Amino acid sequence: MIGWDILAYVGAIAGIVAPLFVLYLYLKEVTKRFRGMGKEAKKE
Amino acid sequence: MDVVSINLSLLDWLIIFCYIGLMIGIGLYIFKKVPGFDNFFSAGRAVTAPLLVATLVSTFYGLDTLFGTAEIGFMEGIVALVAYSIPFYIMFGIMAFLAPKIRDRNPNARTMIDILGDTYGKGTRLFSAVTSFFYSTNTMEMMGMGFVFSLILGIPFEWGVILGAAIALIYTALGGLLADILTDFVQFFLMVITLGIATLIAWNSVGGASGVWSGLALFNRGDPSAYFHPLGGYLTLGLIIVYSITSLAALADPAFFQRIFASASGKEIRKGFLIGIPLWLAYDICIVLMGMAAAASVGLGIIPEPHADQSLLAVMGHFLPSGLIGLFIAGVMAASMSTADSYFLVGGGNLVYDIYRPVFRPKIEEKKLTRYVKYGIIISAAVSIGLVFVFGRIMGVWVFQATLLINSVLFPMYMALFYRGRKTKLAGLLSTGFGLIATVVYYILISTLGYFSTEYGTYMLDLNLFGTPFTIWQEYAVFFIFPIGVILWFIGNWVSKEGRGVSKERRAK
Repeated sequence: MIGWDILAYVGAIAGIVAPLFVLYLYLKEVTKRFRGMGKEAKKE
Repeated sequence: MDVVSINLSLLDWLIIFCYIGLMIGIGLYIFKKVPGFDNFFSAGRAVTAPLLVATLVSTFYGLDTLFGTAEIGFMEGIVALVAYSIPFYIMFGIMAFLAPKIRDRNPNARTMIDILGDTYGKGTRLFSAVTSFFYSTNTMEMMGMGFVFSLILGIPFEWGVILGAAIALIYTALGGLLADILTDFVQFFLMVITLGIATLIAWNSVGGASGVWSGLALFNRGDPSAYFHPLGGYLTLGLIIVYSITSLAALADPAFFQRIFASASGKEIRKGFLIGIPLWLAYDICIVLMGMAAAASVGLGIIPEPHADQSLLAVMGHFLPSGLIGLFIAGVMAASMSTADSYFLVGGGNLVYDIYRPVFRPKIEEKKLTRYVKYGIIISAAVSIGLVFVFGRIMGVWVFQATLLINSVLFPMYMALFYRGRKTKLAGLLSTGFGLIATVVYYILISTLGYFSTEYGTYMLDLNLFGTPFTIWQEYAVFFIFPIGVILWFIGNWVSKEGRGVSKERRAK
């Protein structure tokens, strides 16, 4: 029975954590883009 | 069997209204920011991996997955995950491998119909656009939305359908693909995270796996081990192949192709599919186990027996506290709307960009094209709503739509994408035309002359050939029609004189 409990917890926790990882990737990308824009503005 | 009822607190209502307000707000915000058709229809071809993950996952998984998979979990157990979902992960894996090549080899394409039309001409463009349009009609999502809105608002089902479609329609018609993708991003978090949290609470409340086992023993009035058997104790390899054949549609899904062409690069779309696979898996695990937990809860006398397709709502409605139930309902709406909006856009694009523009107005201005696609989106939504009213509950509508796509589009499209040899107009026309017409005729025959088997959950027709009785299923259409379509493609190529004597290098140019 313990295997099914593990499956339930792994599925549920992955369902919570994995979208947060996707959000982290998105925020990292947005920050990088803003930094790039800031650098360009300074050059100008 | 009881119809599920859910009591919502003020906090729950607030969450639901905030969600709907946010979706419409995003549409209005993007409306002012998307100049030009490329921005409207292909999101400026600059979509990166995180947004792609969210839009791929939320678009492909709608209410048919949420309620349908939970229903199989409720009635049959873990087989819903092993036999029904795994074939789709294989297809998603294949797409992760192929999508970068498709994206990089066709930098100017916007839809998969562009690939077919550019290779085989207007006739094939027309047949494949009609197929894609029918595949994109959202009958199942409309029904699911109608049910959810009628459940929480206490309004008639028909009004629930119109209300749900209207919300998705507003932001899609206003902001196009970018609004679609950004709303999908929010909807993705809502639908996946709330399901994860809800699974933790509900699974523990039933008493974990041992509680579920005892509950299923009472529900099943006997040994519940079939619920935990990967093949449900009854599936054979042949049945798995028959049931999973529709997963091939994922290789030609028009919403996937629109996102492939909207991606910033081949690398980004590959990441999108690869990160998406474990998310799809986690989502399926939660739904299936919640279906089983619902059956166990009925066995233990915690909840009254619901209709199998309402099992997920029944178990969540009972175990989740105020606030979380609002989030969960918003997550259910998110699952539905993120699918509906994407296919409204695909359907609108099929009508205007893929059919009207090349046939009637090849030199149409971008501004007009954008406006007309918005009208197309409204027509696509109206057809989806209309189908709900005309047909009511359509059993196996997804099987029909997927079969149509596989038989008509799959083979000629992949030949157009990856076969370097001669490809003639006749080959495309014969295979797409035959696939479309033969599939429609096959389904009309099966549904009018055949019967619905409650044992196998599909339409069947009993035949007698030279004294030998046998039964054909609606799923068999792929086994009959697809190979003939392939043969017709080769015959068309062989018969036609088009492009003969042209070297491979010139053809490639």
